[in-house]
Parts: sequence; C-alpha cells; structure tokens
Amino acid sequence: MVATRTVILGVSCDYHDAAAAVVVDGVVVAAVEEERCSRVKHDARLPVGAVEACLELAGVGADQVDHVAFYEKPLTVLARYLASRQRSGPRGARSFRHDVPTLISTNLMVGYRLRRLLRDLGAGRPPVVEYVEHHRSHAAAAFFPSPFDSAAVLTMDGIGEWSTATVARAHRNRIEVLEEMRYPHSLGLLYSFVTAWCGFEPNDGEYKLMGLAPYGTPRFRDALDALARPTGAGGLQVDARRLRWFDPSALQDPGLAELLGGPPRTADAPFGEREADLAASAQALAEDVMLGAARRAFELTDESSLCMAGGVALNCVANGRILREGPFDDLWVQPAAGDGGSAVGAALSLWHEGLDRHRPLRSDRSGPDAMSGGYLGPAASAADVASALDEAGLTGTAAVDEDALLTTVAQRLADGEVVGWFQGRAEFGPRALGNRSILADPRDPTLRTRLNVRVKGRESFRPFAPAVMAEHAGEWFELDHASPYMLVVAPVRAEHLLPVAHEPDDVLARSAVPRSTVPACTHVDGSARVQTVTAESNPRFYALLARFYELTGCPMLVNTSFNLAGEPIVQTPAQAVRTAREGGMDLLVLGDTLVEGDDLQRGADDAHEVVA
Amino acid sequence: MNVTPRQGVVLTGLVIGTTAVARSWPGFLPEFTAGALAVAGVAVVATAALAWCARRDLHPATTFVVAVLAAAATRAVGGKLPALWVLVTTVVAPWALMDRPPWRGLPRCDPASRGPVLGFSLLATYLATKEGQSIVVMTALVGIVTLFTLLGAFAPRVVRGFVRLVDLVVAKLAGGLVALVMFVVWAAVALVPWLLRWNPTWAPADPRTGWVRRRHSEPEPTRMWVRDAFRVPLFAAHRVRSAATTVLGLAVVAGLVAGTVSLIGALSPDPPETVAPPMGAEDTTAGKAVKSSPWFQSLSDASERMYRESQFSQFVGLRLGDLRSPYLNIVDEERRSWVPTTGACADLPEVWMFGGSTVFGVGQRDDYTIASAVARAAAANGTPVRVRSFGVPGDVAWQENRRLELMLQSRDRAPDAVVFYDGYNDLEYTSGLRWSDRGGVGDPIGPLDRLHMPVLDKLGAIADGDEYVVKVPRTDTRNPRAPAVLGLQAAAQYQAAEAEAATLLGARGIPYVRFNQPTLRSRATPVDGEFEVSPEDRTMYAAFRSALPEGTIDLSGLFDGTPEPVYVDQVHTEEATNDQIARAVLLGLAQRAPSVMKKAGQQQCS
Repeated sequence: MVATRTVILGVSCDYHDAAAAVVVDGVVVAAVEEERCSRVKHDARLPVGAVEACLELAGVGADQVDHVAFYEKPLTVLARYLASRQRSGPRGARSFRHDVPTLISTNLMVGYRLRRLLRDLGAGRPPVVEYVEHHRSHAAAAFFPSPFDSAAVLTMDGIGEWSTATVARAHRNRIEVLEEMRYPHSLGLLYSFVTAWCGFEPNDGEYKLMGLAPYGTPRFRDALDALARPTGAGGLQVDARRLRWFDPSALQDPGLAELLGGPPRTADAPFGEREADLAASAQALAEDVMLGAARRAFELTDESSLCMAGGVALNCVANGRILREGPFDDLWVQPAAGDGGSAVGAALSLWHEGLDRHRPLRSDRSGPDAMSGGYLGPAASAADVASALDEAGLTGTAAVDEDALLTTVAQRLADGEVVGWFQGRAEFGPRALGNRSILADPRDPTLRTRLNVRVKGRESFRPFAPAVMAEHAGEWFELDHASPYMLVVAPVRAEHLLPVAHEPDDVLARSAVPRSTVPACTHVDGSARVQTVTAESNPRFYALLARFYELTGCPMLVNTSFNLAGEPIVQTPAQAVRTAREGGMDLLVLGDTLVEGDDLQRGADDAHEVVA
Repeated sequence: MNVTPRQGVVLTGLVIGTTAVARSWPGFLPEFTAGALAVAGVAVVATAALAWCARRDLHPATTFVVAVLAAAATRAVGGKLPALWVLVTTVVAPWALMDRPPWRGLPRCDPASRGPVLGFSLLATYLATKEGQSIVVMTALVGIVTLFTLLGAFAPRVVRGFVRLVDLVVAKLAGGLVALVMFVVWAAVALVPWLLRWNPTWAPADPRTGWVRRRHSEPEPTRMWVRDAFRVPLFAAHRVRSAATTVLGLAVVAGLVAGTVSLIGALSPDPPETVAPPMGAEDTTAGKAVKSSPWFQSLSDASERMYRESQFSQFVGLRLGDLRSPYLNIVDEERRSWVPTTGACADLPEVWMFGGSTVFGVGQRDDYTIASAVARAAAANGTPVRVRSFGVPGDVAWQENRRLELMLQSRDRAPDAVVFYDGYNDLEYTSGLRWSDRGGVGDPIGPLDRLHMPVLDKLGAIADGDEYVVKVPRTDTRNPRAPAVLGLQAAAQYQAAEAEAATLLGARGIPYVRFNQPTLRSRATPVDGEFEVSPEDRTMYAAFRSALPEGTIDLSGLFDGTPEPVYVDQVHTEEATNDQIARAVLLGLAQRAPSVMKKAGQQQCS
C-alpha cells in the first residue's frame, strides 16, 4: 500500500503581508511572505511568487495540493466593512465608492483567484478553497506549532472579521475560542492610530513607535484612556464617536488634536518630545491591556502556558512584561505573528481541526517547536551564489573550511566591521534570525548610529537587537526563558549597565548615550530585544557567536535584518549583493563565500562606469 | 484564444443561422429578447458544462450529451428552432473557437479581434431581427465581422486600438453603473444608521471585562462567513432598533428608486405613456400618418402594443385590452374619441359605431378617427352627440353583432343610435375562400381564424407607413369559385348579419344605420398613387354591391370625385378624408335616426 501525503496550501493576502505556507501531513515545510518575492514591502497582493516558492520548497506540484486554506472569511469582512462605514455618515461615501468595488473584486473573489493561480501553475483540478476565521488562523498559528500540549491562546491584532482579539483554550488538536473583543474596540487599531498620529506609516511603523516609546514619558496616558478605556481585564472600550477607524478625516479632528498635544506629525517633520510621549503613552496602554488580556486568558483557561499571535503580539516589550509579570509559566509567540503567519495557521487549523488529524504529544515544554526556527523560506545553492556574484562582476573568496570562515568573520566583527550574513533558508516573519542578517559588534558605542544611518538608512533612535548564545543569555539579561524569535524584550542585567552622567533632552542625542557594555543593542531604557540562539536551532550562527565569544568574551552580536530602509529582507544572493553594496558593508558572507566590502564598492564603481 | 479567418467565417454563419431562427420566432422583438436571454443562460450553463467536461478529460462525446441536454432545456423555454440553434451552437461554437492553427496559407488572427467579431456578430443578430433592417443592415454587419477578422489577421494594431477605445468607453459606463449601485447600497448601510445616530457595529460586551462570550467556537472552514458575526447576544432594545433600521433602510432605498424614476420621468421630453394628453392638444388638424409626423412613432409603438396585449376570442374575434398612450387610448374595448365639450353636456345622445379597422382608425390619432370626425361634424352642426367607437381591426358584420351584444350587456346605458360602417372585410374574407380549404359560407370562424395574422401584418405595415399590397396567392385554386359567385356569397352573409342586427336592435327599439364603406374596388377611376385593382376583384365587388341588404347606405362612390389619392391600400384612408366620411355618416344618421339628431339639437352645451 502506498502512503499518500496530504498537502495543504495556506494563504493570506489582500490586507497586508500576503504569505503562503505549505503543510504536508501536518508539518510546516515551507512558508514565504510575498514581499520577499515581489520586493514590495508588506505586499498584500495575491502571493503568486510565495505560492510558487512554497510548492517548490515542498517538492510538490500545484496539482498535488489537496486543500487550500484561506486565512479569513471574506464575506464577513465585507459585511463588517459595510456596517462600519456608517460611522462616517455622508463623509464615508467617497471611501465607500473607492473601497467596495475593490473588496468585491478581490476579497470576495479570492477563492476564484486562488484556484486560477493554481491552474496557472499547472493544477488541472484545483481544490475548493476553504476559509478559516481570521483569529482562528492566528490562534492556530500560535498554538499548533508551539511546544505545548495544551495552552491558553491569546490573539490580538487590528481587526479580523469582527474580532479584534480572542481568548481561547487549546488542547491537542482542538482550539476552543471562549471570548472575543469586537470591532470597534481594538488595541491594534488604537496603536496604529497613534502610529499614524506620530507620522509613521500604519501597519509598518508600529515598531518605530515601540522603539520611540522609551524616550518619552506617558503624559498622554489619561488622554488615550479617555478615547479607549481599558477595563482592567484586557478589554478596551473605544469611544467610537471620537475614534473613527478607517476615516482619514479623523486625523484632522481638532478635538483629538487638542487632546493629543497638537495635530499629527507629518512624515518629514522632526521628532519632538510630544511624539516620544505619545509613543510612551500608547505603549503603556498597550502593555496594560495585553497584560490584562493575559490575565483574563489565565482566568478563563487555567492553563500554565500561553501562546500568542496577531500583529499586537509582535509588541515584544509587552510580551516581556507578560512573561515577567503575568500568571503564565511559559510563553510562546508565533514568530510570524502578523497576518503573514496566518497562512501557516489557516493550513494547520484545516489539518488539525478541519480534517481532525492527530497532533503529536508535546511532552517537553522547552523542546523545539514546529516552526523549524523560523527558517522556512527558500535557500540558495552554491551555484546561485556563484551566479549572483558573476552577474555583479564580483569574485568572492571561498572559505577553506567552516572553521576558517567562522574565525575570519568573528575576527572582522571584533574589529568593528559590519558583516552581511546570508546563510541557509530564509526566515519567515518580520525578524532576521541569523540567516539573512546584518551582524556587528554590540560593544561598539558608535555602531548604532553608524548602522542606522549609514547602512540601513533608518531613524537613528531605533535600537538593535542582540543575538546571544542561549546559555549566556541569563548572564546578560534578566531573562529565564528562551527567546529564539526575538519576540521578548528583557532588561540588561544591572552589572552590565553603565551610569549615565547627563541625560540629554533631545531624543536623538539620548539615543547616542551608551547605556551598557553592549551599547549597540541596549535601548535607552536599558532593555534589549533578545534572540537566544542554540546549536540545535542554527548551528552555524551559533558557532559564529561562540567564536566571537572566544575572541572577545562577549557572547552576542548585533543582529538586524538584511535590508535597507523601506525594503523587505533579502531573499536571494543577488539581492544580498545589491543590499550589501548599497549599504556599504565591510564584508558579505554568502554561504561559504566571502566578498570584501572594497570589492563590493569597486564592483559598484565599475557598474557605474559601464552605465556612464 | 485566437480567431482565425476560418473561425470568423463560422461565426458569420452562426449569425446568419441565429437570425434565421430569430426571424422565425413569432412576435419578434420582446419575445426575441426574452428568448435570447433564456438561450444565453442555457448557453452559459452549457459552456460551463463543456469546460467541466474538458477539465476532466471526458470523452468528446460528452459534449454532445451536454449539447442535447442544453437543447432540451431550450426546447422547454423557447421552442424547437431555438433548441436547434443551441444544439448547433454548442456543438459548432466550441469547435470553431478552439485554438487550432489556421488553414494552410491563412494568417493567424490577433486575439484582440475576438471581441469585435463576437460583438458585431451579436449586434448583427439582434438588428437583423428588427423590422425594416432587412438584408442591407445584415449584410453590412456581416461585412464588419469579416472585416475585423481580416484586420485581426493583417492589421492587428488597428483592432487593438479599437478594442482599447471600446474598453475605455465600457469601463466608464460600467464605472458609472457601479457608482450608482454603490450609492444605493451605501444609502442603505451607511446613511440610514447615521441619520438615526445608531451604530450597527456596536457589540454588547461585558462592561466589567470588555469581552464578548462566543457562542460557536467550532471551526467552519467551508464557509465564507462567520456564524457568530450576526448572532451576538443582543438586548431587546438593540433588536428593535436593528429591525427599525432595516425597515427604514429599505424604505429609503425604495424612496430613492421611486424618486429617481419620477425624476427621470419628469425630465423626459415625452409625457409618460400612462397619461393621455388632452384631446387635440398638440395637433389641431388632421394629417397623414407618415413617418415624418411628430406623433407617428408614438402611435406606431402604441399600435404594436395594442396588438400584443389584445386577446383573441372565438366568440367575437379580437378583443382589445386597455391601453393608455398619447394618441391611442382604449378603455373597456372602446377607442377614445373626440367629445364635444366636457361637463356641461351631461346627457349627450350616444351613437355607437361599429366596423373594422377603418372605424378603429388604423394610423389615425384618437381625435381624428371617423368617430371623432362624426362627433366634431355633429357639434359644428349644432347637434352634438357622443360617438363611441367600437371598431376593431378585422371585424366583419357578424362580429360587430357579437360585439354589440357584449356592449349592450356590459354597459349601463344603451345607445341612442348605432352605426355600422363595414362591407369591405365581409367581402375580403369571403374572397379568401378561393384559396381556403377550410370553412365556407356558414362557417365564418375558419377564414377569420386563418386571416387574423395577415390582417395584423397588414395593419402593422400601414402603421409603419410602408407600401402594402394585399397578398393573394392567385395560383392556389383548391376552392375555385367565380368572382361574381363569391361576391354574392359575401353579400348573402352580409345580409344575414344585417338581419341579425335588425332583430337585435329592433327588439330594443334602437335605431341604426348601416353604411357600405367606400373602397378602392368601388372607385370608378383609380388615380396615380393608388394601387391597381384586378378585374376579378372589381367583378366580385360589383356582385357584392348589387346584393347589399335593404336599407344599407352605399358610400361606394364617396371619393369618386376626388382627384387626389385617397386610399393607402385597398380600403384605409388618412385622417384628412374622415371629415368627408363623417359628413356622409351624419347625413345618414339624420335620415335614419332623426330622433337622435333632434335630441342632440336640444342640447345646451357650454
């Protein structure tokens, strides 16, 4: 008898962060965000490239896909949209006319579009698309890959169909959604609103707001509470008459401007104390609500572990507080907690709940999860590397062996150089976890500004994260749990903090003040967004950290995503070469091949000459 | 999918075939449109079924099964011919449109030509079914189809440019339509709750926690909607407001639609057809029913509608349904006619007028029919009467009797006098016996039944202003009779009807007058612009005329002294001639029903 495999394709798209995932017999074998293929950040379009890449990674043809799971219920989304328009009254007519045809032609037609895509990829009879509720997709993405056999599940994001947050109890292959918070009461939308008020792009700039928060004081907290009152149990009562979600004119509301210390900041205006204080206030509110929601989840489920997903779960500062102050012993956050990860969740929900398939017993809570360290994207072969270098007119140097490669790179990092690190399969989710990373020495006090401004071209106040050898994490940070996906913020231990003699008033000046012996990855409040690395999860990256530790006594490196400002993380060697060249990196490591920064720049000059 | 010249040829053939089917469809346009929609629906289903078969690699024979099923469905909806068309189309079209290499020596067409070829093919099909388009339009459009096929092969850029232009126009129109629909939807879902200051997105949560308990927690992967979405535990007040909003929303949408329709109606240059204008409001003189007349099209459309909405009764023949239009109004089987004044003359003597299409007034407006002309002449004479017109196209004398019976039974008031203005139809129907193998003298139902449609055809042609010649298949002599014999037979039947009328009205004491109407056959010398009359017809008419019932006023030579053309065909005239007829009728009435005219002369109308 020939065993047949069940292939499920999970897809999310049409709002933001489109993605695809392939689950074969319950195992997540591939997951790719569309932005990595299309090179359009937060690309929401039908994930044509991602589906193609996932099928190739899984080694299955389009005609072998047995089920297609979509991450939300489009009809309910449309109904909610229609109902929500009334808040704007006649003012909403224009946006209504603009949005509804799009919603109808994209959201409602998603089943047809997906089947046509599979047909274009060679499927003779694509399966009928099945729809998993938005927050169930999040919950499934949070629980099924987790290392827990049962857990409480908390999902929070801007909005799904009607839900904006859910609390669920999960056990084996079942998730029971117990309570939900419904539109318009939404922490995610509130956070995005303040993001927009501070002059950042919603659905993209929330990280910046989180990074800006420690620079300010929460003096607008009462104002925000008046707009959205936390109930204390994780609930949020939004004053929908004043906060009109999806109504662009809400940003021109003079009443809100009076409440929030002035009109919204424009994107090109300088940062001021007001923005920092607004960020601090929003962050404080978010942390309180999330902590309250965690407590509510504990109260309802009586579980000792918590799984989280949804865009709000990417708030690693709040996650850290939940871990430290919350009632749960363990916390696992889906690395692609946003809508991209819902592609995985939808597929897993269909497998376990829809098809009622067994989920292996998790006996070891601290064991590995089912996300394969987040390395679910495409890899590049040696031939791909050689081809990319050839196209760029570069000749890299092949390392003699692994040991020589690691020694060289570690030494160069210790010398203060910035290294582009491109290895193995690409990460799935917003974080670079050591395979598509820019690495640097965290001890260098000038590194943050240098990396932010020169290499990545982003705001200089934004902190960098450390990737630390898991066994040394506790020595440097107040962290007693693994944080393999960089989704928990922990304070740097007191013994590594440096005294600050004078605190500058200016936000940007404050960011340049060293706070610890690893200043490049220590935020202004003495915290760090930690990634713990083990030899099992990423052997080569761990070995590099170990080699750096041997050389310097510092078991960590700055690990930031391999991209430039406004671009997605690189996926292919060619993209890595271009990014390294434009970012002015000192060394690029593509698998076993090293490319010197000087060569990169020379190649760029040659290219310019050719063009000239 | 490319369109090759070969496929263009096949499509052209389909157009011709479709047109043939459409032309053979009784009733033409309205039925054709409905039928075409039904056939299109079946074709869509059939195409989907074919695609389904193709995807599953089923045997090609399955196509034929699908085609037969589709044809069977069409048979039930539209009849045999459309079913045959569907059968042929579903078999031929996929074959024709299959992406195959063109025949050797022929170039491959650009895919862009497919749209224009199909579009113009359909247009050709539709237009060619319209009366008056004939073969010229058909040929022109088939030529366009062929042209686009060739352009697709040899000048694809031209076709692409054309398609882009059409796309742009269609996109703009479609965009406008979507915007309109969106507005209505928006008004329902957004505006009404906003006006009510009610938030339909409000969800009752536990005020202590801010959370809502879920009712259904099981996954539902097959659905596109969430079960809990509209089943939140509502408070009673919330439910009431929700229902009120729904009702109000529907009312607002209905109001918007009604308002829009009214607005369009108000802005329309033509008055709505449901309201008749005052008599003689626009044109105060009788005119010719020619296409250049401002009222012709409206009258023509109304006439078409009249025939469509009439019923055929075996007892009396055609029964006219109620009709409201600017120039043709029918209420309770009576065509509206001119009334001397309104209000002041409360007790006008009534004259009921019966006859065929001439009394009805084919191609004539309500207030210029013979009945109207009689009323106007009487009023001018100081003897105002109310003339009610019960003329129905195609009526013969015995039918008039049946109709009179019906009216006497159904109307509250009996007439003061009755006028029969007929003769032509009686002779015409009897002459039809020459080629009829049904019926005969004493069996008038047969010929009437058989001639019903040609009469409509004839009247339609007259209303269109086209030349018309009575089509008499002279070669068929299955029931040969000498013209003179036929004329006498017709007269005998006419006499029988007259006797019946005399009995019917005599019993009620109602005076009546019968006029033998003037026809082209009775005109001594036809003038230029009128049709020829065959010697047989003249012989037949002479025989008929010689045996008219006693008391009949013969108006045969009424127009003998008129040097201009009078008749548009064998019997019908224009509005302008009705005054002359009216004067004769009034004179006859004064002679045969003096009491009526006396009563009329006593009227004091304002």
